[in-house]
Amino acid sequence: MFDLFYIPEIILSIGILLVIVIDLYIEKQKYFSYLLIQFLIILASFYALTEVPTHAYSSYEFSKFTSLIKFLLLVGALIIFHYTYRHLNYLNNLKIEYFTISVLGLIGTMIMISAYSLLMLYLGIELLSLALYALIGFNKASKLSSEAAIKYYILGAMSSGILLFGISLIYGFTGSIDYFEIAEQISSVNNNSVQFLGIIFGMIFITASLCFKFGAAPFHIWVPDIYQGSLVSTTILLSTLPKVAVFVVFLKLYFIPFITLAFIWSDILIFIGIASIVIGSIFALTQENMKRLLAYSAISNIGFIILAMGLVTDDGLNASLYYTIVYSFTALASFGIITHITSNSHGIEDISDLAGLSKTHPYFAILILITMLSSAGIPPLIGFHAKLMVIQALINNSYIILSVLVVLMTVISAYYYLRIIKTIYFENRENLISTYTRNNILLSINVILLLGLGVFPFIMFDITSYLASILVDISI
Amino acid sequence: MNIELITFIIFSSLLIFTSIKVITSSNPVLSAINLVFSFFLSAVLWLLLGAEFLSIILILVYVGAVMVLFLFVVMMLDINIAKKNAAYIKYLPLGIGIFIVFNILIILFFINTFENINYNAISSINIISESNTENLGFVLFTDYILEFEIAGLILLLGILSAIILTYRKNPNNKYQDPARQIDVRKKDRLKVIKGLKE
Repeated sequence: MFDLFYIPEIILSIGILLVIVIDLYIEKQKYFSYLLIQFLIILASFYALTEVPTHAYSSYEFSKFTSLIKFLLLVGALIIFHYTYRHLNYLNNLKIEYFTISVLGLIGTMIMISAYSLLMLYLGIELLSLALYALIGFNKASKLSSEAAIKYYILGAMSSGILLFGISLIYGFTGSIDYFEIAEQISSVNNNSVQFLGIIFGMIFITASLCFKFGAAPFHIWVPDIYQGSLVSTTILLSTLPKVAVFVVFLKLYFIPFITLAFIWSDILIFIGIASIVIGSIFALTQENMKRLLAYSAISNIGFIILAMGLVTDDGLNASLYYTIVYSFTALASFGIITHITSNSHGIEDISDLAGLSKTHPYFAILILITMLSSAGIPPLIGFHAKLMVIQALINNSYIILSVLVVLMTVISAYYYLRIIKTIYFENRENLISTYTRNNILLSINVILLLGLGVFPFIMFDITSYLASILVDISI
Repeated sequence: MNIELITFIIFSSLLIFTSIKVITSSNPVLSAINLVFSFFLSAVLWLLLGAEFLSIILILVYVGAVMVLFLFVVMMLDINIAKKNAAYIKYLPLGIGIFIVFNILIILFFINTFENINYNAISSINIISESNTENLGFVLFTDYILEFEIAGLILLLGILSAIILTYRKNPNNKYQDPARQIDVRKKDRLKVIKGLKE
């Protein structure tokens, strides 16, 4: 019984209740509460790696796969909170509640990852989205922030409604919300019966809602506005943790309960993936705002992930896992750099705000150079291997025309990544750029890893193929 | 035609009517009252299905708590009656088009579905008594205890985010700090001056 207390979710949820109370008494020492939260996350990530009882609760799954993904998420959260504390402190907008809400959202992502029934999945998604609504509207001084919060709130509520409609259809036609029982029911249903049609109907509704949460193409309209309106620290959170969690939800839903329907969802996912890549690459060309540009780049990156997943083969699965980890790594670096810089005494908004950075702050200029080249997919960096794996998987499954299209879109997207580099190194404009630190060790390590893992890509190949192998273990 | 079907048709058509009134009436108070009506009517629909607990909860929570609070806020804020928005009319044809296509698809799908579905698939839940409330409580605190706890976390997060989004600290507020009041020593307030004579 007592080993249950070492489950990371329980550590975080009990700890965060304590932090809420303790923070009331030491309102002045914000740094102490912040350190307490960081300590909780370190403790939880430590216990995430230790052995847990497999399948301790019927609708909640513990396995090596979920533990490793949770570990990655917790480490990501640790780094994000480190950037966030300094960023908010610099903007004089520091409140400990920002971190408590983020930690509750983090618990939501962990519930989504471990969910083994549709009800648990819905609760995890709700916990995460509720935290995100509050974090997006956190900057009360800005009109854009409130607008973004209301937009995300209304659209998010609608997508939750669509998700619930899909779940109720699945429950009505299979008689269960448990992943395993749904899989059994679907495999025993006749392909021409009405029941089969109903299950597909429900599955498509769930797919639409999850694609909204992912920010994939036909449901992407919210992404640029929300990225632009929220604080940069919220934008990092939005572009890393929920994406990884929704990706794992996709994997578990499609490869456990809906695996026998693969001939249907594979086409849907390939279409969504291609549409995301095309829209993300083309619409980013005309963006002047840095955060909007990175939002469209996120849409096209998510397109790659979904496209690789839609192939329903081992190499596609490997490629999508690899791409997800690389993407969140790169997003952590690129948004992390932006949190450190202010231009003309406000945060970075337009790309032109960065002009002249190479003269005043060569360290940050080089970091942005490496990150952008990696996102564009230039060979020695890790972004190249990620894109290569997806295209290789496409060619192996004889989607030749699609792979040509994807390569073309990659070339187009290289233009806007290179435009940022051009602004930094070759444009002479007077900007009052300042940073609150000369360098940051975590940021440097993050960017050096982009280079180092790109030179030695086999380390990451091993990690992702291990992850893929243990994922297959649980689905049987 | 049995009595259940007649009741269903009457109440569901009233429900559709009031729901449309909620979004079309220009006075926010009228919208809110129509919403109250639609909650009552959907509670009746629950009753028809034999789910008496859910229908009572719907009235208690939504009508009793949420909508009364909402009406208070609307009355206090003195909101001007909104004019018919031009954008509303502009997007109406598109909305109606999507509505028709979507509903035709759903109706086509459902029209011959429910006669053929095999309900044996739905897994049997332990029914321990006649009462709906008792059954729900039993399932909620045994099979779904973890989900119940997580719902608690969601409520906590709701409270936290509502406070953080609306709370503004006013620097002009005057308040007492008991800790500082106790901390005061004699020498801070009292100054004894010696050697002063009239």
